[in-house]
Amino acid sequence: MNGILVVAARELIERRNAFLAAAVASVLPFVAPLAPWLRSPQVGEVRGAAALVMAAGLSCGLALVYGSSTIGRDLAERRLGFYFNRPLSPLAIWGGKFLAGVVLVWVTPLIVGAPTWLATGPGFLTKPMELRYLLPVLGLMAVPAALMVLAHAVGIILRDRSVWLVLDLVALAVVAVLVLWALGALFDIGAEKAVQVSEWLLLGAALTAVLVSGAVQVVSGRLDPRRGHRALSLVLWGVLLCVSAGLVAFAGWVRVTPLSAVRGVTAAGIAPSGPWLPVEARARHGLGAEMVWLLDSASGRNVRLGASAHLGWPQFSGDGRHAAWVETTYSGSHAAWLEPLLGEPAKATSEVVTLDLREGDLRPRRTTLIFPELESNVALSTSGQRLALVHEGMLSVFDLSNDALLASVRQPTDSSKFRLRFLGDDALWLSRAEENPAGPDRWKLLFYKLDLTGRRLVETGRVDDICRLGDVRVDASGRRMLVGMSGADDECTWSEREIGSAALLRTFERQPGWEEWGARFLGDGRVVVAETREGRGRLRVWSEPGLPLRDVDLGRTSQLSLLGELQPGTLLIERARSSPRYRYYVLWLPLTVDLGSGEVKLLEQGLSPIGPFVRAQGGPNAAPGDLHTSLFFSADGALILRDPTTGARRTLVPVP
Amino acid sequence: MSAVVHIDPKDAAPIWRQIEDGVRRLVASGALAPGAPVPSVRELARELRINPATVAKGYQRLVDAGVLLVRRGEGTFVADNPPPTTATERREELAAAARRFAALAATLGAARSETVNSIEKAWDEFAAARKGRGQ
Amino acid sequence: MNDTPTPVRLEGLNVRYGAVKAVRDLSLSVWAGSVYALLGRNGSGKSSLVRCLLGQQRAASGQIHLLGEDAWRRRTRLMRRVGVVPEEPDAPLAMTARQLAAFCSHLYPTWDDASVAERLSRFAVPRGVPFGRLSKGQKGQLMLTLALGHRPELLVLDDPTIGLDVVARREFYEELVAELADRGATVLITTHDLAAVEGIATHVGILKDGELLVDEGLEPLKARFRTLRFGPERAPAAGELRGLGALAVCKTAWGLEAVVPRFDEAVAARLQAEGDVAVAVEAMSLEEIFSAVVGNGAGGEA
Repeated sequence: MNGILVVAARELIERRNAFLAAAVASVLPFVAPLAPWLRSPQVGEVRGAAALVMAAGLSCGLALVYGSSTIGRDLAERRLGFYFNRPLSPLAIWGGKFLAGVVLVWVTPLIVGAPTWLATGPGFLTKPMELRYLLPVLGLMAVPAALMVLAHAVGIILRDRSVWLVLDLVALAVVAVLVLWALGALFDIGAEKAVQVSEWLLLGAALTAVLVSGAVQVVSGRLDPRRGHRALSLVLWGVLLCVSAGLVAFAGWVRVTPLSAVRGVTAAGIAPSGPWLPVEARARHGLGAEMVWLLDSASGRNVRLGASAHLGWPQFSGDGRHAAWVETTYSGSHAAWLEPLLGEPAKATSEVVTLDLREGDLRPRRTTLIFPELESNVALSTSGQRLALVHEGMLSVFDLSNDALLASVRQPTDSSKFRLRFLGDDALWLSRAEENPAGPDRWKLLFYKLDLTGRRLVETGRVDDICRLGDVRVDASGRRMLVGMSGADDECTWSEREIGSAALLRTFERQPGWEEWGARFLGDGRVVVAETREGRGRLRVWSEPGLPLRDVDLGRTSQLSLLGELQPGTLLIERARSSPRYRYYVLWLPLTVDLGSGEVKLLEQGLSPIGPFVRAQGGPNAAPGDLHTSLFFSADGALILRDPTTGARRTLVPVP
Repeated sequence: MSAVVHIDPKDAAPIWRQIEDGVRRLVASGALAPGAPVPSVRELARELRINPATVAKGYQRLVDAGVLLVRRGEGTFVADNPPPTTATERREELAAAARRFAALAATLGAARSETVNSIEKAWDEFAAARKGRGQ
Repeated sequence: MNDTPTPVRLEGLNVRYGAVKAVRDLSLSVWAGSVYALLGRNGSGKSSLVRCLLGQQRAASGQIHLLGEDAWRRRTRLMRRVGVVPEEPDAPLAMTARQLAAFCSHLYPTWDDASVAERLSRFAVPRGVPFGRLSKGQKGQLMLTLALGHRPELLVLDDPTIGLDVVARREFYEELVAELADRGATVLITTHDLAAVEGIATHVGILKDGELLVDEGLEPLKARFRTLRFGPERAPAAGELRGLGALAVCKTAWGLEAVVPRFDEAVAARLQAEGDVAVAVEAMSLEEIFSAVVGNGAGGEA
């Protein structure tokens, strides 16, 4: 301990001129505002900026010069023997020099800045703990110290012009490749937080490695420059290779998360029929990484599709036997996470991938359908034979048996935000937003029919000014649909339309002041509408001919979601209610509504609704008691299936 | 005394021997009178730039032989009654010196009588000088 | 005597720089209280040996015992008892004598401020002048003062008088001798100034190409080396020279000269029996012995 102080004191005395220079530099910020090109009414700010720049510059310059010379030059000029001929341990020698360096690079900026701070007033000193004052100060302290240690290591390596330099360069390249791969892999799966944490970890590890290896160089190398270089390199690259290899292993481990090991489901979907669910969940320890699986809720089999950042939400055929989704790759995917540094991300390419869910091995098939710019998700026909999507302003339908284009139709150039669904195998509906120079976009719904010989899609009907209110609802027969119409007061009014021609069948009048949340066909053909007004909700049941049958009061409500019929005549809904205490906190509850008696009951304790998280794929109306009314989150967050008749629960995706 | 005690690196005799012989010669010739102080081991070593242990060895032999004595706290001195050289020592020394002198004379081409004359002359001068000093 | 460890003990020392062997399987010991002069031409391995001895460089193999302990591992502690004067004065150029003395005084528990101050005054080394601006002689004296300041048991002097003028060299050795007289330290000195070290050394080692050709006391060494000068009438046969074990034979203007490393009474008697005055037997100075040994051949067994 004594040795360190003696050496440090000696080093500082030798470099006392640096403090003198700092004192001189501290005067310059007062002179700066006088410079003609810096003329500004904010004298204080100019002074402050000048002081900061000079302090940082002096500190970093000193760090580089001191770091590279304090041991390296002494070693090269054979002056280090002076210390080694005396009872000073190598650690004391290194420690003393390091300590002196740290004092040097931390005190000089304080000297440079002191007069300016005093002149400006002790403003920030009254709130020293605020992060935005603390961080630049910490940065001002950490950066020069790091530079000093780095300069020492680099100086040692470069002064000893031996074969070990080759090893250093090779090791540097290997570490760089490993780190870039690992960070890129993490970024790929959307684990941005993991990338950030890794970057800090790597920085810390690198600085520690440089620091330790610098000490090892003195302890092990002593007066032999080559031996010192060798020791330094071995420690430095040993540590860095371990850390980067560990990072690579971690990234790989996260990427192969099985569904049983996920840390919470973030979204789920329901196929139009069949037991399959698309599930999006957080990868284990991925710190933000989200991946998508397809899960067979009956058997528990699942297949991992990939990082959700890269995937479009999977779509199913009407028979529930085929799935399709879009994979987006950025050419050079690592370039995407360098975007903050390098600017524009690389080009994106979208590829359609299909999966036949009947096959045993569940291997996705990459189609030849590759597009530079997709403007919609894909849609599968009922049998799964055909696929439709919008790309580069064209709505196109493909035959999946040979990936051939069957038909297409151009979309207006000012249209965007396309959604589409097949109706059977030969017809589909499409909704899009069209630019409106007078105000907000106008939404339209169009019906198309496939004309195979003409290789085009023919418009059979359209609805202007629809509401963006979820999917359109189709009834059990497949001939009628519920569409929300946008009105003058920006509110939605439900209307019933004929599929194909879009002919208006009836309108469900909306009473003024009511806000629409959803509408659906019941199994017996009646229509139920969910609406709220001034914090209270109700279900309004409309009879077949179109008269309001009854209203069911739902009490205090802020949001509503209609899930389906538990059994004929009993609707399962999810109702959100603002917490009385916390304005932005909503409590969702699953409720059963007996449409006959109007009784509203809580379905069960300990169930969290999946409703808000479900991206249900609309299509033929869900049959009573199917997945729409059985999928829940348990109280601890597991994805469960609840048998609607017995109430028995089965865990689909557990929580850790 | 350094000017008189001369250390010859090419002399076959070790240094301590040379010191011993040198001091003996000085005492015998009367240059160092009985009871006279001699430089301490440290001083002589320093002057001659030789290892003090060597000087100490030479001095020790002289002390053992009774030529020098050490008075505690005062220093080293010539003994009051330094023993004369033994007959054998005297004979050896004379013979060695005589051989050297004779070789020199022969190379100069001096005759025997001239050689002997020069010896006798030198002896007389030396004896006169000693008498002058009261020895 | 058996309790205190030998100040310096090297066994089987090997030092390599890449493929070049600087020191080969070297063993030597420096006994307590002795002055060991390690001699060798430039590049003979002296500096490597000293650096390994002081725990500053790692040997390829061998044992290095300094004051009885492993030099590499215990260097820090051992340096408290060892004083080192390096070949090139390596004190930081900006430090003054005063600062250097203060710096060292914190490192040694046995530092003797008074004697240091006295020495500096005696050699008129200015206290406030930066080291870089001192004369060579002053630098040398300052380095010696710093080395002696903590009263070390062992002094390691690596060519301490190189580059010094005659007066500075004399003062240096006077100071060393005074230190020996006062405290009797053990000294290992490497030097090219053979004449000066001849008076001080008790033991001599001669290094050539990394091997120790001579390792014995100075007295016995000088006792066994003689130069034989044969006059022109008395030319020895080759066999005779071989029988004498002659090391270096050369023709001079006076006849033939042969260096004999194993001179003893038997040889002297044989020569006397010839009854020659034309064979002169001369003792050799250390310089002459060194030249003969290092010039062309081994030093012969003692």
